[in-house]
Amino acid sequence: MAQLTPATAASVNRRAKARRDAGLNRLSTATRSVGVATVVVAGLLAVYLGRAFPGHHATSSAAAPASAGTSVSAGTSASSTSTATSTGSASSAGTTGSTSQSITPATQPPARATTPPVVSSGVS
Amino acid sequence: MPAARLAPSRRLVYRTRAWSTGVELMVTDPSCLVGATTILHDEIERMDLLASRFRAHSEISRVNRGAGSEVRVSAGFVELMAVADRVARATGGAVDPTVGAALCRLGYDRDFAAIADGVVGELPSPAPVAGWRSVEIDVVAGTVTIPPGAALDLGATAKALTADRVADAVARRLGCGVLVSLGGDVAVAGSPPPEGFSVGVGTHWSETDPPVAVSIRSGGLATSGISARSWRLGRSVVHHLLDPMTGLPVAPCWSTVAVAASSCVDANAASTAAVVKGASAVSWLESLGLSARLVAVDGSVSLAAGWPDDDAVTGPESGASR
Repeated sequence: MAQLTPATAASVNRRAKARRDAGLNRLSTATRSVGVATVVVAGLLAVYLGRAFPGHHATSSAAAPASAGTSVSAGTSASSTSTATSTGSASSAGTTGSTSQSITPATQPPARATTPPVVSSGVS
Repeated sequence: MPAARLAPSRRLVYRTRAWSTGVELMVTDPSCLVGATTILHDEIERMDLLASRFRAHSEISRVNRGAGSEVRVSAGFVELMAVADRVARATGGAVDPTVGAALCRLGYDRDFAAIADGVVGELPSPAPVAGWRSVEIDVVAGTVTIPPGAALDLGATAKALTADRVADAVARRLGCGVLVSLGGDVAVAGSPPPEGFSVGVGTHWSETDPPVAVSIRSGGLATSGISARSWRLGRSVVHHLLDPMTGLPVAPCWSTVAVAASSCVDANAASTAAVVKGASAVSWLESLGLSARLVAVDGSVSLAAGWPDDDAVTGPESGASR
């Protein structure tokens, strides 16, 4: 059996230093990765929320009237992000109007009444 | 506000007046009525402070006076503007919140009761309104900016939104079925009676013997038209439903349009837009699946998207009518 040579104090220190440096390198790499991932996720989340709540797109006062039929793009300006906040808070405040961007039909269409009307709907 | 009265019937209908029209509230549980009326009056007052053009210190009046500059508003007003913006967008601009200046040019610059007998003046030349896209809403700063010379009118949205909010709050807080009608803009919430909420559909909200009655179980029902809220302007007779393209009353096509939708706001938006859209309204309503009953100025009736038949149907129009 070969005889093991006892390690000198210097070689022990070198190995210890090498292990420490390698550990610090791994930690640094992991920290950079977490930072990059956080930025990417935040960006994706911002884009997703911007599209989920298109909201109001601010325009200049010289913009054409709505009746002119031009379209409004949803979403990439700072103002649309702001309105997303508004839409969310409006809903949480208990607004009962539809949160859909289009007009939505009733769950059940009206049926012929079988009892005398309680109130009347007409022009006021 | 005038004294309210309880209808002497088992339906427990509370009636009062606000915004120059009638207000009706029905609950399915008698023990909820007092609490429901409190909610109703609180919400009407709250909305009045936000959206009445005829109150000098309302938020809409401040925004209109500050046209051309940024005006700080409450979160409630921002929320109301968000609803008006959604309605304008969903109707392709047919229901536009910037018709206020055009209404003023027609003399509707004070409570309707004050102009019902007519005003002095002449029909102005056609001019498009500023347009809903010209309104800037900064939610973070809590400000609204409208172009110089423009004015907001949120009448189409505010009344319906109030009906929705009251119905929702009564059902949620008191746990009963409820129907709210603000001048015929109807919202229901909570558990309906077994037969549903029976609503008459006629020309005027106060009709005691409407030609048609339908039953609804959720959402809202609203009727818009040119047969009421009209007044004399000099030698012309004008009404309050304006074409945003001209700033003038819409050309007569439909006398009334009643629509049922998922909320009173949506129903009112659709019925108002249908009057503005004129002949194309039936196909537009059909494309959205919105049940509707449209009465033309000649009295003929068209139905859309499953609105139930009635004896009065005589109609002229496409496949959707009879």
